[in-house]
Amino acid sequence: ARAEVSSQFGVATFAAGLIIMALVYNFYIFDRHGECLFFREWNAPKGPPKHGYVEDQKLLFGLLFSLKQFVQNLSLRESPDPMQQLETRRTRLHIFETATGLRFVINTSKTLTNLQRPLRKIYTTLYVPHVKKNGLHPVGVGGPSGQRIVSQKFTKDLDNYINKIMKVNTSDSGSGAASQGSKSGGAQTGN
Amino acid sequence: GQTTYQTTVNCLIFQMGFLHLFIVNGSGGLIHHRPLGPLASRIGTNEWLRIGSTFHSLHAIAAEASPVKLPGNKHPNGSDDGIEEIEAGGLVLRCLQTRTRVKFVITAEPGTSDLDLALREIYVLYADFALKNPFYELDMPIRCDLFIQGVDALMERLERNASRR
Repeated sequence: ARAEVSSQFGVATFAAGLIIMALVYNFYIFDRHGECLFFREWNAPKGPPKHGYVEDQKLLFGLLFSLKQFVQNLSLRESPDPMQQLETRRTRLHIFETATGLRFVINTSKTLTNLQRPLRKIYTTLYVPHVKKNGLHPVGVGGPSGQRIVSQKFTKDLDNYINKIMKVNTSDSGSGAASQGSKSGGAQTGN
Repeated sequence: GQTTYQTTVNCLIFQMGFLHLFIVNGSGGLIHHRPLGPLASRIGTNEWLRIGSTFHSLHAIAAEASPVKLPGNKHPNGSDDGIEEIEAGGLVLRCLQTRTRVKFVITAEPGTSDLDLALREIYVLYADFALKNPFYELDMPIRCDLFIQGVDALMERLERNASRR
C-alpha cells in the first residue's frame, strides 16, 4: 500500500505498511550578533513556546554559542572543525555556520542524518540570491541594524525545498536520501 | 601514497579513537575525568571542572530547546531528555544519563565504534566499584582503584576487539 504525504507539512496517512517518517520541525537563521534573521516552523508537536518565540530564539542562540566554545575546548586541533549536529532523544539539530558567522539551524527527526549539504544549498541558492543579491530587499541583513529577512520568494522556495527533503526521506522502501544528490538548486519550483 | 605500515597505524587509531571520559554528578559537579587513549589532549583540572558544569547546563538547555517533548518529560529508562550526541568535524561526544542524573560522557574521534557499549560498560563499573564501595561517598570524586582499573581493562578489551575486526 502506498503512503500519502500531504503537500505542505509532511503529515503522512497510510492504509497499510510501515513508514519511516522524516520530519522537519523548524528552521532558524542567526547572524553573528545573536539576532534571529529568520524563523519558520513546519511541525510543532510541543505547540508554541512557553515564553514566546523571541525568548525561544534567544535560548537557542545561547545554546549554540556556548556549545561552540565547549566543543572548541574539548577538540584536539588548533582550529577545530565546526559543530555540525546535536542529538537529543527524539530530535536532531543541524547547524551550518558560514565564514561571516551566519548560522543556519534546523531541527528534524532523527531519521534525517546529514543535512550539511542541504543547509549549504539553502545558503547558496536561496539566501544569497533572494536576500543578499536582491536589489529590492532591505539592506542590513546580517549587519548591525539586525534587519530580518522579508523576502517572500525566499520563504516560498524554502518551503518547497523542505517539503522535498521530507518527501524524499519518508519512505516505506528505504530509498532514503540517495536521490537528494540529483536535486537541482532549491530555487526551482516547477516540479 | 602511504606505506602499508602507515595505513595500518591509521586504521588502528581510527577504530580506537577514544579521547576522554568524564562523569558529572546530579548537581553538575565533576566526579571523574581521565584520558582514554593516546590521542587525548591534556586538559587541566580547572578546565575539566568548567567543562563538567558547562555540559551539565547545556544538556538540560538542549532538551528545553528541542521541539519535541518526551512523554512525561522522561526517557523510557527514567532519565531526563538532553544531549545524547554531539558531532563536530573532528570530535564526537556521546552522553549517557542515568535516572539519578549522573552523566557519563565520552569523547572520541569520528568513526570510533562501540561508543554506546563503552558508556554502558562504564556505568556498570561505576555501579560495581564505586557505588558498592562502602567507603565511596555519593556524588564525590571517584577515587576507587578498582573502578579505574576496570576502565583500563575495558579500554584494552575494546582495543583488542577493534584490531581483530
